[in-house]
Amino acid sequence: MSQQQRSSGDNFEQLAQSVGLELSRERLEEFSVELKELSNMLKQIDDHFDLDGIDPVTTFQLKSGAGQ
Amino acid sequence: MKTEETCFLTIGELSKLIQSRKLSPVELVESMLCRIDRLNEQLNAYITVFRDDAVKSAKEAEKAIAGGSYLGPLHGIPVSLKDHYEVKNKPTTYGSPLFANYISQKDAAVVERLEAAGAIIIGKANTHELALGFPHPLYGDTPNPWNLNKASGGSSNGSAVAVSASLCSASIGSDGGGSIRLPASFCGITGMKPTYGRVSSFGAMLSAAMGTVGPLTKCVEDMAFVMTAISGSDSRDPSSSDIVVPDYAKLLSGNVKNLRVGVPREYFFDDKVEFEGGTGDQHRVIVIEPEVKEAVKGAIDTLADMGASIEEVSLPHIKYALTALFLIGYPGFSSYFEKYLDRVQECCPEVRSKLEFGSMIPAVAYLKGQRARRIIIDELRAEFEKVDVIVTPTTRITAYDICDKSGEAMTWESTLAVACTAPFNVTGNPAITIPCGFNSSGLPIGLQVVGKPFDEATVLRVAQAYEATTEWHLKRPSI
Repeated sequence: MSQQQRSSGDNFEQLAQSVGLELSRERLEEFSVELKELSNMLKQIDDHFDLDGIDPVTTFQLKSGAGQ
Repeated sequence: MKTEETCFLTIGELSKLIQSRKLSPVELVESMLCRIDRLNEQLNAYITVFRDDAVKSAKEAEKAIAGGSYLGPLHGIPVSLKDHYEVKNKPTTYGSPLFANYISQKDAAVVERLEAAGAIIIGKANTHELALGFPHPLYGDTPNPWNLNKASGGSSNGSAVAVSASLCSASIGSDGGGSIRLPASFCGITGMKPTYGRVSSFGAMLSAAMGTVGPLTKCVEDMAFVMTAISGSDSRDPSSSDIVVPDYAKLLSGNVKNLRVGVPREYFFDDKVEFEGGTGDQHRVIVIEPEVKEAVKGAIDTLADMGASIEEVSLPHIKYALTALFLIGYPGFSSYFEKYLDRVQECCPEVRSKLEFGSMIPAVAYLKGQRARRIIIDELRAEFEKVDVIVTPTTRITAYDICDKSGEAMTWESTLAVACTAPFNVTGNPAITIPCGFNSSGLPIGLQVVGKPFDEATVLRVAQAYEATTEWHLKRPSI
């Protein structure tokens, strides 16, 4: 394991612990795959949406569209 | 009429017999319990059956009806609940060992409303663990009644199997990405995800700002009866809407003349959709089975023949709704189950992975999903100014094989299966699935009808009008 990988794993372990997860070394390594998945998801949004000036949906209550 | 044959009748048919006292609710419930006894070991549709309570409630219903206090079409009708709904003093497992010994201290709002309408809660239906797409071995999977080697979808799989195999007259499921519509489509029945806020989620386990309570039934009229009973505002659910609930069954006109039916130009009917999700650098391709495409196009032709105006709509961003759903939904589930994260190793590996992953998604990523969601909602709202409903396949595939996949392959298969349903959880619009054909292997195919927010009436109207011209909903598995 390279220094960089070890460092990344340690950071991940700290993050996991901060949200109450006790993860094995093996599971932490699996997370690098899932992190890649997250990265792919974010790239998709960046590539296909112009989010400048767009407010996030924070409270979700729809208005009636019936009868339009 | 043979006793077991009553189990196959719709709520519309049963209610006429019950109201006229040609059929006793006790006889109906006992017939249903006999059928459950005979088939549940094979189908695994129920986690818990409320045998004594159901018979007791049926006797009370019989007495009330004999005394002239008929409550309406659900009076004396056996209804099951996905085991994500609380029933006071009964176990609620959420399909997970985390809740194997949990006894509810309250009734869910949907239980109160069903009981107020006279329905009889017959039991708790099996479900994927925590509604996250996989069955836990403690509760097992639910084979598809149309082919026991095929999956029934999920996560309201027990509900769909119970309705399809006539082990109840209707069931209440929940849908945070397609969890009602997918199993309903795979099992050849009707399933509805109402508008977000239409049905109170009090006492239900739902994904935050995505999931809704909704029914699974044998036909659209039955759906209208159940939707009328369970919809409406509830001060205990802050997302609940006070928009007036009509009597949906009275609005089933059977007529779609001059209604504008939108057909999306992008994504839903594309032979192949490249999806840049998954792990590593893989590009995955979502295909549509040719027989599914043919059946859904045939249904659109039928609507046109009935006088509907077919219009093309354009939704270029909807392909990425599934990505937004993951970014929003995974942290939502992890937050919901936060206090159980220290026992997450008891969950099945795929569910454990999702809960752990969700707890590690940064807030900026979550909000990026919510910002993309706003664009997707606005885009759909603009197209709904041109049309009354939009129709799509419910799923691009028919039921896949049961229990022969590794976690990774299964994860992808279940993701692919909700590709057409999940967008409308992101937008919150109402959507129904109804049967529109079978493939050459005898597996059901579903048509999805999507409406404007809180316009369930038009969705039901279109679905019932189509259903009335076809016989797909009349077929039943030979089990």
